[in-house]
Amino acid sequence: MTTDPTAGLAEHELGEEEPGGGVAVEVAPPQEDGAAAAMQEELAAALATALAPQVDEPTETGDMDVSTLAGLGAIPVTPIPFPLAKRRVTGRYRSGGAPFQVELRVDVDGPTPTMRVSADYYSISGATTTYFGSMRVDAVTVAVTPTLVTITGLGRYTWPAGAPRVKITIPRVPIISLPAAATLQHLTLGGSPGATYVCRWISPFLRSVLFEQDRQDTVAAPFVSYNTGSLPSGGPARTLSVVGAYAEAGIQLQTAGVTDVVNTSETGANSTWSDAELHAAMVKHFSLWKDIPQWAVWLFHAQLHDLGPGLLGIMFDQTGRQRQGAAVFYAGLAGTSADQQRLQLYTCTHELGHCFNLLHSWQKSLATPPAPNRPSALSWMNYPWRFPGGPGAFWSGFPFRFDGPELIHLRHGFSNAVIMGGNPFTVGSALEAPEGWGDPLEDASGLRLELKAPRSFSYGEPVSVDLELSGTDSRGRQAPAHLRPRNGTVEIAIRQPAGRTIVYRPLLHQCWRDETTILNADTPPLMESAFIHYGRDGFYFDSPGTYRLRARTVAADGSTILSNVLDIRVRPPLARDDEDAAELLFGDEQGTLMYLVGSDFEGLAAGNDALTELRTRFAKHPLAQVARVVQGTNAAREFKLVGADNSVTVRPANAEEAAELLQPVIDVAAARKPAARQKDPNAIRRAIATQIRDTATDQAGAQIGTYVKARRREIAVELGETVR
Amino acid sequence: MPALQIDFEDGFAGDTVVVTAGGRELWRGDALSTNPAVSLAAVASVEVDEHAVLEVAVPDRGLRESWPVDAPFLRVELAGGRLLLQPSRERPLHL
Repeated sequence: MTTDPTAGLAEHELGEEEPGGGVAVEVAPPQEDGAAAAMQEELAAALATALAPQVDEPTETGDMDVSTLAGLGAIPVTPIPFPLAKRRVTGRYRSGGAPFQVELRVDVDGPTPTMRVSADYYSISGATTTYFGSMRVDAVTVAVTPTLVTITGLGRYTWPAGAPRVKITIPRVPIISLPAAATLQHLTLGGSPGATYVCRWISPFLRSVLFEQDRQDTVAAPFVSYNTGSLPSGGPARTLSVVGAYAEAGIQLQTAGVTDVVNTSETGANSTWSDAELHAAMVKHFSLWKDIPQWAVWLFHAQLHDLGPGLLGIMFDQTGRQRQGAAVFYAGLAGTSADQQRLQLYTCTHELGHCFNLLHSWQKSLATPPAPNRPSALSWMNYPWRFPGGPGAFWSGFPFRFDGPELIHLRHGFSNAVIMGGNPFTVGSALEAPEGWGDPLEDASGLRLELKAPRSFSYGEPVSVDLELSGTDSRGRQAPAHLRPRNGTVEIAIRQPAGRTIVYRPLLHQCWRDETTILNADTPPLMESAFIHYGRDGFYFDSPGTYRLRARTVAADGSTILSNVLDIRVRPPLARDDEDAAELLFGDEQGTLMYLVGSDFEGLAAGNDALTELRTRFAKHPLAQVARVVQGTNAAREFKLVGADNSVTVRPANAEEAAELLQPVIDVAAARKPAARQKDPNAIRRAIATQIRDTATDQAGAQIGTYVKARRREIAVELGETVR
Repeated sequence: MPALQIDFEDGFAGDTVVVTAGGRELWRGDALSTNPAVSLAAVASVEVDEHAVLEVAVPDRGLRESWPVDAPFLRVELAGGRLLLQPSRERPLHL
């Protein structure tokens, strides 16, 4: 029997309805419940689609390779008019069949997309369904054509997946049509096909949780809804219930079960609730309660906790299967004023957030593994009175939403880290310290990944790192043939001085045919350099301080190979000129130009102006060399510009200007020398790239050497064109 | 004799806490641990003389801080190896 849901060539067809009674379900996602639920889903989908911004047409961003970089940005994309808006693809999908079923979550074009996909896998054996594991892709590439959305990326799994790459295709259909099915294709690192799942659309919500509420007999008016426009706030005015607050996060709370009125006598003699009494009340009155992980939660509207009227709410369920119930207390919450209604909404949503395993904003570091605290988060999970600036500042800025990392956790956290009754409270609640970045308990991968870089960089200096993958035993292991963030074959996590941990995301993703190589203790290590200074999140090293880096790659057998932890320091500017010169390099246009190693694209003109100012006004400053390499390399390339009338103008390569700009930085003649003996253009480029790596960077000097080395392929392509 | 409410908040992990005033023990909590779901380890209610100086100690950590009582509520927190006392005129809220 297959033990890896990503492996094999099996195609799992569209799911039939789940079998009915008599089925033993250990852990299963909630089932959609009949025609009424389907109608509700359909209405919700239409509403969500109507409220959300439209998808841009078309936004192809994948399939780039080095040879196409020269024209990047020069070819305007002409929007294609469509008479009918297209349905969004964000939502939840489910496959059928056996031995595995998949619940797939696509989150790329909804109102607040986190640009992720994730999935839970269920093992089907006879009449039992068991949770198998979870997957998430944190860095997706989305390609949109008029007829199809294609999402690709490398997944992280809760097991060593043999085919960890995913390709999801979803036909785009008019908004009036039924949603199309999603096809989830797994691929090995070498590009060989693994398992395919055809998943029918089941909901616009990314998770669905059964929600039961009970109240104590002394609580006459439990919270219903609050108009967020009643008092100043940081978001649009709307009427929000607890269900609505979670719907905005992409989570469906489905009202379920039986509403009980709980007699005060269950509190014992003192009329106040202890945590143990609350737990007993949950087991007795939560009609859906089971001692298993399940997507079901209980909210109890009670009067007063043992800790007094200052305790407004508590997620009391912290023994055994935890996080299945919470209580809110009207001794401190009761009232019909806008202040009190707002506090009721906040407390109810906050306590249920704990049931989803969310920690307080200023205590994310208490999670296992820990994440940076976010005391200034305008989130449901903060305390308004602990917010910097006080409660007035909090409420006036609060948009009645979870913050970004919390949204990712709610929608895409691995199942056990989120599901009620899964991991104990605080375990796996901190998504920002991504799973899979800790040291493995056992490493028999036969591979070692080493991350190297200078110990420090000056302020503004482009940060690049060296990666070295080697075999550690004589058996030989299949490994990726290239280690490039832009190919998705290596990931680099960066912990910034402020404590934020972020995974570097390249500006462009290249769909590269995945090649593998065999590495053993006797073969030379695989060596690459990676430019990680600027990417999709902007500049990753934009303030002085110490940064902690760790890289990882995935071997062909699914082993995750983690590098050493590397600390690098960005030095503060020593003089005013250092600061002024560096500031000319900070800017999205300059970052893009550094990434692309130059461009004529008019949308980057301001960036080019800044680089020109840097190399003229600060000609002797070491950072001016960055501008020289970027603009010199671009001068060496032929650049095609497409006019509004679709006419193509070719700006020829200017070898003279290129040499003038590059000569002080790179020994162009030395770089070209071995290339001159070559006939094949690719061989010429390879020879130049090798020469730049081996010798030309010596001339470049420490300030620019790592950047030149990391960008040598792009530079070589352009010098190669002008070598003959 | 005014009543004082003391909320022991973040940072407690199995600690013994002793509250005294004028050498008299007013309250003792053993094995206090903060519940991260509410950022609260315990709530103590004590009665103190007007103008009393309250002392809060965590003996096992060698920490001790005093405060001349001038508010009906006191928040106590352990952070960065220090005992932080924050008086308040309003009841501290937790959720």
